[in-house]
Amino acid sequence: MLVEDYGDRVRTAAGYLTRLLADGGTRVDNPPDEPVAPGDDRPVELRPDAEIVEMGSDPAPGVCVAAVDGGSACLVNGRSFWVVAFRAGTVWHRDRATFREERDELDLRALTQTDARAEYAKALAAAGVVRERELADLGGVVDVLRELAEWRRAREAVALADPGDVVLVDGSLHPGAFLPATYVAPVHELALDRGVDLVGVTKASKLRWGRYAPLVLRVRRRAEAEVGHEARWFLRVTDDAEAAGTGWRSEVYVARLARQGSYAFRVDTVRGRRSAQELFAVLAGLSDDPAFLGYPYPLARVHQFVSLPGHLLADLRRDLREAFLREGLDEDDVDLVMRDFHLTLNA
Amino acid sequence: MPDQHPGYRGRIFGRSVLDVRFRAFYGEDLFLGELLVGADAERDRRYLFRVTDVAYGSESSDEGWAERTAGGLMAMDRVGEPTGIRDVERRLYKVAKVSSLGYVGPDRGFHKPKSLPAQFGEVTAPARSDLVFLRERMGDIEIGRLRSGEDTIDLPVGIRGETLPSHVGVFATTGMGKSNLMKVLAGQLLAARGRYALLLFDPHGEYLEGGAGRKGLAHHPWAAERLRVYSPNPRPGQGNLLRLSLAELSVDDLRTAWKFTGPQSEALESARALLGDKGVWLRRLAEEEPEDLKDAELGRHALATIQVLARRAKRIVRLPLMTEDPSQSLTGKVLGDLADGKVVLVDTSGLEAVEETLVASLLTRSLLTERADAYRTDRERFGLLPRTLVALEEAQRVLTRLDDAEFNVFPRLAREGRKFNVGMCAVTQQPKLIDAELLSQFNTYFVLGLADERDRSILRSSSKQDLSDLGPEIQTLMPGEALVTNPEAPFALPTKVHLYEEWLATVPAPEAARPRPVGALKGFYD
Repeated sequence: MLVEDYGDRVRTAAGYLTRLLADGGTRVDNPPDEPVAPGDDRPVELRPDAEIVEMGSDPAPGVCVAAVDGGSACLVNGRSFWVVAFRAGTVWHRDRATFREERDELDLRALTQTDARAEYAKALAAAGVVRERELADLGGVVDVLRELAEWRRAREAVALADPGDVVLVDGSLHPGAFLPATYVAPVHELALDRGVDLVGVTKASKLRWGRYAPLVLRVRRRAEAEVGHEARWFLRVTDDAEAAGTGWRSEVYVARLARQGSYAFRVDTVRGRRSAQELFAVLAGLSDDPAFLGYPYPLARVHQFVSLPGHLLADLRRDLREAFLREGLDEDDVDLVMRDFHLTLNA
Repeated sequence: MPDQHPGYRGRIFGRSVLDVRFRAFYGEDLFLGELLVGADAERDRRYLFRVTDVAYGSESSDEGWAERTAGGLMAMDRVGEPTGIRDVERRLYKVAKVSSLGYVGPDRGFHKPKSLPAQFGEVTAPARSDLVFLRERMGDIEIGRLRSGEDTIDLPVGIRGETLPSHVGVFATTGMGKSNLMKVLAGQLLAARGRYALLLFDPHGEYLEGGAGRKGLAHHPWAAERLRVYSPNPRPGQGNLLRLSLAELSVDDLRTAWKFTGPQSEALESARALLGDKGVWLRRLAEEEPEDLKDAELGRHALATIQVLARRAKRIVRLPLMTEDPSQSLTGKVLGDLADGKVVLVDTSGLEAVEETLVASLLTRSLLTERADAYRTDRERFGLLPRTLVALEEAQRVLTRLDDAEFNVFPRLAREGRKFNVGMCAVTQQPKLIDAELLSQFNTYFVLGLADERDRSILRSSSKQDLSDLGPEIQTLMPGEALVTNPEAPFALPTKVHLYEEWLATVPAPEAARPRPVGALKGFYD
């Protein structure tokens, strides 16, 4: 049953959001979970005249493109403990065809809050970096474990790539809230040393313009006004000043990589040899698959390759359930542990 | 497409005994009607499949994926940057629906499909050994090679001559290869050394010479020995002048050729009974004034009715091939040739449809009567007579109603001919116009391309083999491609009919009489 003034409420909500999108501010928020510069959560000033640059599309014959992504899921949420699964993988693509796919074995961990912290510390120690902050909640550990696996794969891909090749990662090139910059920075440096272009594409960016206007949407609207609806373009969000004195060489852009398709993305780059114009042309060349127009195909491929589809999760949950029973748990206890009562209510 | 061994097609993934599905690589070119084999290593069985439909599949679980992707391609076309899908073989595949025709088990025998092949069994093109069972069932009258999709397999397809009296149907739209098939069939009977006989009516004058750029039965190496031609207008040296006697025509022949109303039929019977026998009744109907006949013998019939009979009688009497002198009739000679195992070609190309039907009716009735008499009175002679086929084009004209068998010789032939070793070969573009019960009397079907769904539908329902899944295949048959069904074949056989001209080159000529060895007669007359 809808409230009596349902229509008014919808109109009010739409009007409020429209005003947010019209925010004329120039600052880009630097949210802690998706920073544009390391170790600094100050907003970034985006000049109103920041250039919208149009680029071509380069099929980049012979160039190898590695794409890295991870998949994770919570199999059991016992509130005080979790059973999580994750894996990462890499696909290698050249001349419009994927020629190699590698995927980690699925990693399954059962964690309590205490275990999670220990696991987090252990993972960072294994990577040779110092823990800078503590995990805020139990759920975050699966993201951290997956990201660690992804960055390990990114490092391996950069090491294997030849100069002029491209390594794509899913998400930003900046460490998240719980990954120290010291873990990620060496990968950037390795890319620079080897002349490999390292690129991160964020599918759903949290970057905000002004108060709450999504940055990507605002930039796209500006670009459409300036260069039209059927153009490929990029706009650099950060400039060298943000990285000055940090040794940090990654750049943050918003880009539309195909002349058709409604998507634009945040794109982070550590450019090996190519200019921004050249690199974005290569990215555009990778983003012409008709099923994923505007998104680099190798990233779409690796996403599908490492994701944990519903049937796999169902199999894992069934195996887990049987293992519980073999351990001597009775059916009612297993139901209590594994069944989410929300599902019962929603059924 | 990944490299696989030659003949590899894919893997089975379901679905039921009579509806098996397999997945194939995207690049696999699968054809409707293609014959394939599904290996069941668990039970040492080889299932024979026929492809009945092919569809696309994709790795995406999103039902709208393909439609959306096509939209993406079109969007890029619109901006002048045509693109293509990446990793095609990883993302797309084909799903073939196949009907299971049966399987060859460990006993090497062929069994009807009553079980599911092993899940995920390998699907391949049939090996030569897979079709051995079929080779053993092929008859002596070969009309082509087994066809798998658009490929031809080196396996002859034919029917057994013994089954000719069980009737043959040739169904095809114009241009799909009817005439070629009929020439191949007639050519096989010509070369059968008298084991079989054929009475072939040729309304288009195409079978003897073959027409432009084609060859006909006259070019057959056995023509001189085994082909006999009867024509109202024979070319010199090419045939006999066809002459039929008015005395041989029966009321039933007339009723087969024309439609008569009830009163007209009654008047016809009266004329036959009252105006004189041995064809006199027809001559009188043609020559005397209807009013005079009304005033005399046919007084109880309406004048208008008599006038109709008179017009039709005139048409018959004036036919050049009709003679009043029974001794000039060649019916007996035709029957003699057929008894001798010859192919008798009756050229009716100069006749109109009703006249052609009249001739066909007379000769067919005479043949059936002769064989029935032999059957009843002289079984020994009957046993020596060759199985005989009567081939009639546009057969739907005379096979519309089973009930017509009362007077129409053709339905009677379809119903009773088998007993007397006389079969009918009905050639038609419109099987839908043939009485369904009559169609069910035909044991052998040669189905070529048929455009009309109603034609395909009636064949599906009356065939001796299950054609229910083959509608699309019949619809897409190319000229010269056929489906052959008869009780001998384990399933409807996809066939590439021999091209007559090519096949002719392979037919061995009759052996000439060997010269007598020198000295062979030495001492013989001593």
